[in-house]
Amino acid sequence: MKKSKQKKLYYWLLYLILEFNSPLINAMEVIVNVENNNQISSFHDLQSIFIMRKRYWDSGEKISVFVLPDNNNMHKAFVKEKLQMFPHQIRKIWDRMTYTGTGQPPIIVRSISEMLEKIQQNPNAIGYIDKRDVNESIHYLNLE
Amino acid sequence: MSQFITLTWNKTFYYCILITLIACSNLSFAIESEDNSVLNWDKYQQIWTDDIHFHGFISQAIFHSYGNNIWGQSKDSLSADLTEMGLNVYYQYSRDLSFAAQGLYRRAGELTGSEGEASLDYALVNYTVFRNTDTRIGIMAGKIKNPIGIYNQTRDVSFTHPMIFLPFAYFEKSRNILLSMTGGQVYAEHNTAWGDLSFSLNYGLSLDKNLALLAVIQRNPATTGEFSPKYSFGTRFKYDFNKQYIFALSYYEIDLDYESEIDNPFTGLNFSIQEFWLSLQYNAEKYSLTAEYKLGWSQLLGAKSAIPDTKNFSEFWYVQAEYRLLDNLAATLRYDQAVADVYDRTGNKIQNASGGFFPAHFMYNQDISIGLRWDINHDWMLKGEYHHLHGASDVSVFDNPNLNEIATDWGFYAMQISFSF
Repeated sequence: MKKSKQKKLYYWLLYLILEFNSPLINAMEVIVNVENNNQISSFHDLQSIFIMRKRYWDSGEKISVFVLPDNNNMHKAFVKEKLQMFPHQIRKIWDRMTYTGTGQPPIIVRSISEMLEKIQQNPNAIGYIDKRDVNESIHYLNLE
Repeated sequence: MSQFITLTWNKTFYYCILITLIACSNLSFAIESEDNSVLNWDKYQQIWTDDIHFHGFISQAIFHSYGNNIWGQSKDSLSADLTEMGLNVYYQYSRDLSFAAQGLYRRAGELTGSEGEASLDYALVNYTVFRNTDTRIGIMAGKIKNPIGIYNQTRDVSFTHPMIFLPFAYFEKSRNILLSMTGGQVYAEHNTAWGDLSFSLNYGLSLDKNLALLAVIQRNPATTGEFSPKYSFGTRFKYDFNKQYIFALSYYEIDLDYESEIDNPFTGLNFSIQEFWLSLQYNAEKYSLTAEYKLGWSQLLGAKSAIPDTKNFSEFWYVQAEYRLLDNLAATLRYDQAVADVYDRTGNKIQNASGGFFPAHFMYNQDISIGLRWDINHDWMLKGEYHHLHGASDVSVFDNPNLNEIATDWGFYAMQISFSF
């Protein structure tokens, strides 16, 4: 990752939402803009966003949801542990919306660096990262 | 070559629809920005990239069958006569207002012919009337897919079901009757800690292309006249706990009138169907279990002389187990059956009554099938399956025009490759 990007990332808060017991999960973090960090207080809030039920932040801005492809291990771990669902279940929800005209699925990014780049560019974005994959220059804010 | 040209025309047809829709949705922004003497191109561009979304899919299947043809000339041969292709656009204008449309191209054996059929699958405006944290009530207007059972809304999208072939309850002959309605939908959703409740009520006109149904009634693939839809309705109540336990009840009542330019023995015929569905699904990490039960009542009334007034009571059910051998590889086993008349389950009554003219096997069907679904990656999927069938109630008369040659015991192998974006 380029240095300029790391500097930009410095201004972004990485917000820890829930803690689970699995060691894999403890490395998984949901990331949002600081303005929206107080709108997710439970896993239900988080689930609502990722199943595309809650589509707007309280500010009235549309939420941009970013995920990794279905076959990505980090995606699988995120869905299971943070959303308490199975990847095939969330895929069914997204597909039904997509092919009945009732919603749109999240935007797929191909890598963590792309995820960070997208979230950095969009103040209304939400996504997730593996803490171990990201440079130390990122500041975390643990509100719990 | 002529086939290629027709395909191109069909494609052109639905690209036109999509372009028109996109143009319309952008137009509203152009009008809004008239206040500012300079168009806000950044905003315009952002709407294009952030708010308008395109998705699509294409599936191509091949079959080899014995006994009867299944979609094309597959008997003791190889047929590639099932192609499904869709392209959709979705535009979220505001928190409460969205627009969506999908164009569908479908080639399904002799019914659609080798050139296939292009159609507007859905085109709707969705407006949320009331919203709070846990509840949403809204209305949709336009052409809307009917939420019936588990698979009906997305029946043509292979990605949304485990096998290429849907159970008999969804089969081809009733496809057009139950697919969608042009009219409106009222819906309500309520989310609780112990699950989500949803309710929908659809009202409108069903599709007017009902050749498959007409062919069954006239017992002739060379149909005359057509069915014209009358206002009909349908409703579904669904309970869903985290997509783990799904329970749904659906009820649909569809009315059609027979119309023909030339007076014939079918003149005056009215066809109506009522369907009641019970749907259950359990999803675990490694496996999914699905079962659906459908009762159908149909009436054929008022034909001049071709057929006497007839009432019919049919029954369909299946059980399906899907096991995920790997995250992207699932095996499915299904038992499925159809009974065209519950008072004549074996078809013997009608066979005897018609003096052997109407074979008993047209009154029932049973299918044991096994399939594999491999999600190669996010975009590509491959399915393969084998079906063994007993009975012929779902054999297409378009693909098997010689009714005397239709076999009671038959089967087929199928493979399908699908791509989505």
